[in-house]
Amino acid sequence: MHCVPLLRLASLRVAYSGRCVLDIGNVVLDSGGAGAGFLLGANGAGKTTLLNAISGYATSNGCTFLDTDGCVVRIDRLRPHAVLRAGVARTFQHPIATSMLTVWESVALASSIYAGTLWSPLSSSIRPAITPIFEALELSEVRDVPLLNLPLKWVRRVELARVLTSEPGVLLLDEPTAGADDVERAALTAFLGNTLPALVAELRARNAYRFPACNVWVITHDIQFAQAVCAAGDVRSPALVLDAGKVLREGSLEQVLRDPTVIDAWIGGMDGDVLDF
Amino acid sequence: MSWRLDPLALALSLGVLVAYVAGATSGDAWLCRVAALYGIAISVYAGMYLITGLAGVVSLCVSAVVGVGAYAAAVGLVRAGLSTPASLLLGAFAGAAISWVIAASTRSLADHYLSLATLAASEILGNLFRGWESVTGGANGFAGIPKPSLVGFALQRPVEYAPLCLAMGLGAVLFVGYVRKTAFGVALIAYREEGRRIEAVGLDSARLRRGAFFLAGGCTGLAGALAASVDGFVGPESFGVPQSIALVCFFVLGAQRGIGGIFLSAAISTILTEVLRQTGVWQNIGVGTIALALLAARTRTVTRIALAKAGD
Repeated sequence: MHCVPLLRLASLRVAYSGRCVLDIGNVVLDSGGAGAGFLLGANGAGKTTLLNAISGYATSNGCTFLDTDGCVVRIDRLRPHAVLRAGVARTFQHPIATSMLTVWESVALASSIYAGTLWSPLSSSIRPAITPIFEALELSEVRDVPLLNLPLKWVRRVELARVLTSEPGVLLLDEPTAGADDVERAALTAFLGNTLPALVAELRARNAYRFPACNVWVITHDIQFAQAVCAAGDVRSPALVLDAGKVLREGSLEQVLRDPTVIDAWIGGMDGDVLDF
Repeated sequence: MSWRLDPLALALSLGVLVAYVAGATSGDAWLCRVAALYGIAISVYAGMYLITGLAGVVSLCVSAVVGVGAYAAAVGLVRAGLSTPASLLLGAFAGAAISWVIAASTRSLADHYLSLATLAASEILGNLFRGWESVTGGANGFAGIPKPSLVGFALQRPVEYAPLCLAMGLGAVLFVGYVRKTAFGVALIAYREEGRRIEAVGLDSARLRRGAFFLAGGCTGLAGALAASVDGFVGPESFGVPQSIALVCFFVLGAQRGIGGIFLSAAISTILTEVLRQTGVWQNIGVGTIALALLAARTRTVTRIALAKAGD
């Protein structure tokens, strides 16, 4: 029995113009509900392609299952909006930062989409459960600012708030620290390590979250960030390393970063010594 | 978000009302007819506000959808003996239905590919208008359409049917204004700015687009039904691609003013068309040239602000 919704990938394969760019065997993505799991690999390894395949933005062969305590839902043939409704949410590496919608409008819209109240005035679409999400991401101070007037870090927070309104069981983040300064990285570290698990637990206690926990996986090149999230959550985060579309190594973050094949294929090409466990 | 009265929209509307009153008191039917056509144009641009202004889709079959509404109302009035209100409803529904079909059949297309598909739809409908002689009258058109009548009162003259057209136009604007304030209207803006990415927050973008096309088609179909009754004649040459392109150009002129721009676009297109009608063969040349000049004058502003401001 497990409380965290699991993402089970079975023979997941993606090909573009006949060329195979992703070939994942049987993998289970389980971050344990605290902190996050990490999808690592060099540029072009297939990390975002994997995210796209899971979330329905890329056509794939094979099967993807969302397993919530034995209740299994197959999601590989679903369109992105249906994947989200099933419980798997994702963010994008380059969020749309040119929207004229305000922060509040963006989050309220996501809330109304999830609640199925598209034909009601937007003001009546906010569910009470949205307020804790808004506050956890500190969006109140920029509530009425259009996204196109906000720095990227706020746009990323809004994107995160939008997907959290759908109460996902699995949250896939694509390079959330890209372009972020140290302050924002620290804030995101704290959010993933402490705030998000507590937020999910609080909403769950209020019957305002449909899953018992949130299984978070993060695509990142930022090993220091990954190590910081592990430390913040005081957990041994799992990691999956991809190389040329295939799984190179999977295990705990500590294990994969010390693996010689991973060091040869990926870390060896990176500058600086960042491994410090 | 609160309703804002756009000053220019208010001024134009008052101007049209003044023109109507002047025409009614002086017996100048032309002024009253311009007011009626202005009301009909408002319905068309209200529909375009949903599709092009909010959703960001450049549809080149707007005129054809107007034609579907016109022919549907004509058939209803002449062959089925429907009342004016029933024929208006029939025209609106026909426009909505055909627009839904167009959206459903182009669900996998986006951006300029979608616009090209609407161009193809316009050609298909145009051929239908010309070829389906038993229903549409073919190239000769559909004549003998009775003037509007309401509650037993026949609205034969422009001074009599202009208020109906203006009221329908105002109703269309109020309707799209309400849609704008709903989550559906905000979703259209999000779709315009994020495209298929909006599905990552659970929105079925194909269904959203079908809904937008349906509602917009209702407004433009209503305009067609009104126009059929007002003119007493419907001909295929009025609903082709050149007319759709002109509608898009005039819509862009008012796009930056949000809902208020509907009135601006309707005023410019109606006044230009009716004033230049006196020039005969030079009408289309004149309308196109002036529209081009107005667009060029606003190009710098349009490219800076972009259609993004159309949703105010």
